[in-house]
Amino acid sequence: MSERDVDAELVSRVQAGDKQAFDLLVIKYQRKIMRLLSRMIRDPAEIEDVAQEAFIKAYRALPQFRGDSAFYTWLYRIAINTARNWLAVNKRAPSTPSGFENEEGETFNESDVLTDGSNPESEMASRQIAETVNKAINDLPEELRNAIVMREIDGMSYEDIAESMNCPIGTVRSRIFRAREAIATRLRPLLGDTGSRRW
Amino acid sequence: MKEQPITPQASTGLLHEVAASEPVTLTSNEVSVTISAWMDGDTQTSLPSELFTASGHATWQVYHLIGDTLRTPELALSTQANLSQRVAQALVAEPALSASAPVQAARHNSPIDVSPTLTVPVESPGLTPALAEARKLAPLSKLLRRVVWPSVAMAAAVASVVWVAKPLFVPELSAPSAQTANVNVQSPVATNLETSAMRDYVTAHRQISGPSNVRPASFGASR
Repeated sequence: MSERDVDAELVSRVQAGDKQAFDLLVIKYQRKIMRLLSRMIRDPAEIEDVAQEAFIKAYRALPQFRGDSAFYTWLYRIAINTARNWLAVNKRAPSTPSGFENEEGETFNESDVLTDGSNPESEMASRQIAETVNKAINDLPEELRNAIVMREIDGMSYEDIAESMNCPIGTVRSRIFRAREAIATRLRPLLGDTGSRRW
Repeated sequence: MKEQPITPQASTGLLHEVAASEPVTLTSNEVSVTISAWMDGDTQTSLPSELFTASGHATWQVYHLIGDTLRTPELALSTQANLSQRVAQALVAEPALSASAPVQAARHNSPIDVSPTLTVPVESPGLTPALAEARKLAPLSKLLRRVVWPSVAMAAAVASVVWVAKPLFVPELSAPSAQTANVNVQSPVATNLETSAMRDYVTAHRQISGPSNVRPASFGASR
């Protein structure tokens, strides 16, 4: 099962009437979509409005989504069209006139985006988060660090990581979870999450 | 310290099966392990139901934030918590996507277009309860208007044309040309005209009524 399959399972749940599954897709892709929109719209509040509209359009159009493309590719196009419509209605020119016209969502590189839409507070918060994650990664034991890097940066499956690290898949599962939890423990104070959870 | 491999049985795979017979409360770690594995597409892990709780959302969010930040430091954004809440609130007024036909009809009502062409939305995405109710009733009237009435009208039009034009296409009922008069054409109609009495009757009828039910208009004759 790939990440695309994970999205497909959530999409099928939404198509079957489970709205909560759509929340998970929003949480997963909101950062990418907001970052994408920041290339076209400068005001952070307006970016958030357009992002919300794009997600609602996606929800309404989800019965027509058949999975021919990845969910994010499809969502990317909806977000671009929503931003274009918004710019047309508000008679604005895109903050960056080119660069996204012919690009597919799957090949879009978020690191190329501009940061004009960010305000100093959010810039500071973003920098804090990035530094915290980097520091937490560096402080991890080597086997945990290698496992999370292979998974998150290299995009390797659990089977491939197990073969590469010469250990059972259960160990890979454990290492990646422990790495994530170690980083999350440091991140939660920055996010206003105390980490007290009840299941 | 020796590492303890985590198996799906130890997380939720079997715990879900056990839950069918007796209530089992998962610990925070067990749920987080399952969420962590499932979001990575681990084939041995099934979707944990705890993912649909507030705590599950928080875990899902922070794990994805970690992944996004590792891949792209530009995505180290923490201020989107209210975006997902805003979307969730807006979706409260939306109908659940349980059946495709009503949803498609509702979508047709929607001013929002997801096609690649440039369109202008004229309405905010949120719906009032009255609109939502109207949207529920819309499919039936739309079905009548878009499918049933046009079909009935089309069938009536075809029937009228056939009724009017039928004599022109049936040789025995149309004007007999010199060619067809000499050739004994076996048609379904001819098989019914076997008796000489019937044939004489039809011939006399043709002479009186003319070659066709539809006579050509002749405006000059009346002058």
